[in-house]
Amino acid sequence: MKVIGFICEHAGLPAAVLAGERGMQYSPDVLLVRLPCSGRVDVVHLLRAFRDGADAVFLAACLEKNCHHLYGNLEARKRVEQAKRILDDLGLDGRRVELFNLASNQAFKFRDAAEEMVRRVEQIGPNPLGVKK
Amino acid sequence: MSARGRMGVVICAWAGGSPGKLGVHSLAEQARTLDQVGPVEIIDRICSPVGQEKLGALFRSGEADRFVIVACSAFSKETLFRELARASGINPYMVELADVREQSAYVHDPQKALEKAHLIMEMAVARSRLAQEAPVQVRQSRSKRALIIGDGACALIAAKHLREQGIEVALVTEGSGFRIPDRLAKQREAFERDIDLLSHDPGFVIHAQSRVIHLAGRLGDFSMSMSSGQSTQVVTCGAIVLACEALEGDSQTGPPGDVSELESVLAGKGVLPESIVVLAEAGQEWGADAGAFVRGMRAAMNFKMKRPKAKAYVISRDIVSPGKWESEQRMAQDLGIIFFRSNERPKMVDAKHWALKDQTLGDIVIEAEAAYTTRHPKYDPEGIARVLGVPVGPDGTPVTLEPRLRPEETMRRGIFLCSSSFEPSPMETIFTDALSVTSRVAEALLGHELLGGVVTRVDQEKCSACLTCVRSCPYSAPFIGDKGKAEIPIEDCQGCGICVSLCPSKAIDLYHYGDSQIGASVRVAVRGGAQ
Repeated sequence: MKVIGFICEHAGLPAAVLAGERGMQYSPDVLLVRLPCSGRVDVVHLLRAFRDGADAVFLAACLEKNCHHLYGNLEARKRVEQAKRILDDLGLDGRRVELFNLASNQAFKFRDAAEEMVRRVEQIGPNPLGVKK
Repeated sequence: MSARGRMGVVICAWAGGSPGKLGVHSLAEQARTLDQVGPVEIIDRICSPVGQEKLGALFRSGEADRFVIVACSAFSKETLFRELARASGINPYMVELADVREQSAYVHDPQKALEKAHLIMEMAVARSRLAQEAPVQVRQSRSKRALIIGDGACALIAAKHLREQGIEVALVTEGSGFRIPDRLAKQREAFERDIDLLSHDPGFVIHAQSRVIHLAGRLGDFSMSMSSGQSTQVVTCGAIVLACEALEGDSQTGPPGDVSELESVLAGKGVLPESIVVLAEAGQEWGADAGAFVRGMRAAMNFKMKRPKAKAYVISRDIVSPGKWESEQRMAQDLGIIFFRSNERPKMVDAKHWALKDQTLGDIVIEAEAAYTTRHPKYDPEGIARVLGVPVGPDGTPVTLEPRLRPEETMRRGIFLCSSSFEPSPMETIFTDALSVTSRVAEALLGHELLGGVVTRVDQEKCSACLTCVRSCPYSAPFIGDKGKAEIPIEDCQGCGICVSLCPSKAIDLYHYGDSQIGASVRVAVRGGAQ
């Protein structure tokens, strides 16, 4: 299983680091990609991750109305909704991609987000585009 | 052999949190097999002075033009490594950090952690292969003067310490000079000494009875217009500190009175009441933070010490006394102060009785001759924040950039906050706040600022001048230039990348977080390094 977490520099990253400092356990299949802002994410990044074989992709962004770059997280929300629709159309299941709003000190929310995506993959099954091992 | 495109991989021996916890030698072996990788080194604690020397030597060796540092989370040392790279003639954004500690060693069992660390390192290597030298400019602050807005204890401490660092200080206040509130009566002597010292200091200027009306410029080069009655004048400064102490005594009158009234009585101005109730609260809603709670508790304690037989109640929704204040609360309880946790703000029954709803005991009516509240006095930092162009939160005080990591900064670079000064806080918080602001201001004024780095570049060939970037930028940085194509000045770009993902022509890319770099690290993460 491979889960990609895009983390914004102002909420997702500090929350992930804090989760690390506190030793909060989550699946080692979750790998994090740092972004300057969740608004940096392009629907292409999300879809290419699935083409490469990721089983799920999530974004950890600032709380709404609290984005460091004012509305980057709202832009990201639109991208994620768009990706969900495309995944549904492709029959890959839109639940494989999700956006989570959290604050920089909410390490537990980050851990929950990571675990939630792992649970969803267990439910939905692996990405059919994934590389056969 | 030319260093162009060659990559150095530096692994911290402590990458797992302590030596031996993570197989750093296995990481190093793996790194040596990767494409483009030249020197691979394991350094014992890269961030230590010795480690930094070794890293600097590797930067200067000319064996590589880009580096991946496999260590801990970006927060702790990223700035340090970038600064070291810059000083060693390497573009600071050619340094890539791979966090294998917080993201792996701390959270997974050793075997899995090592596997994941391999992937994290390879993701960083993949990103680094595609890294391009980001434009970086170094700018020194033009003005070495700091402007403090405020006249309370926080402003005074900040002014004193900035002067000690050799920074010129100008202070703006609507009053006539420094005012030390009665609750800090214990420190009054020390404060008065400082005020005296400053008044003889040629590097310190007070603009009394003045109001800030307009701010122009940017960090290092601000010009602040202020008005004093009929005349206006402009002061240039490099950084601004917002430390407007809450104006006590301007608060609401009548029960409950402001707790500063009690503090004045305790300082010897008036007659002590027979019994008191202190409502420890802050903000508009009923509720308290540590500052308000401790302040209310201290007032009650001082009262109880003067009148041991009298009744003293402290009512709050939140009994919060973190850290060393916990023992103080214990002392307060030993003195005989009665604490109530009420879910609702107590209501006045008559002149001497207060009704409250205790969380365990239910409805209670207590008798007290005088009632006081620690509620935020009537005061408006919002107006000043608006002049400075700093966002204001729902409670009317300026918002800090990041409450946990950068509490003294605002969204506007060069404007700093003493947030504890907006509420009547205890001495300790004021002192720490003032000192941390001092150090940030000194850093901004005496050091240098790195501009650029994570900024956009526009491929003008592809640009169709559709205005998407112009409309989507939170900072209004992009504009359509003389050539009819989008331009984004690096000093205005904040590197969020919103325009990059929106641009329909894909004419914009971001240094350090390029589309290809994001794609490459995702690919490695999913498929593993060996492709």
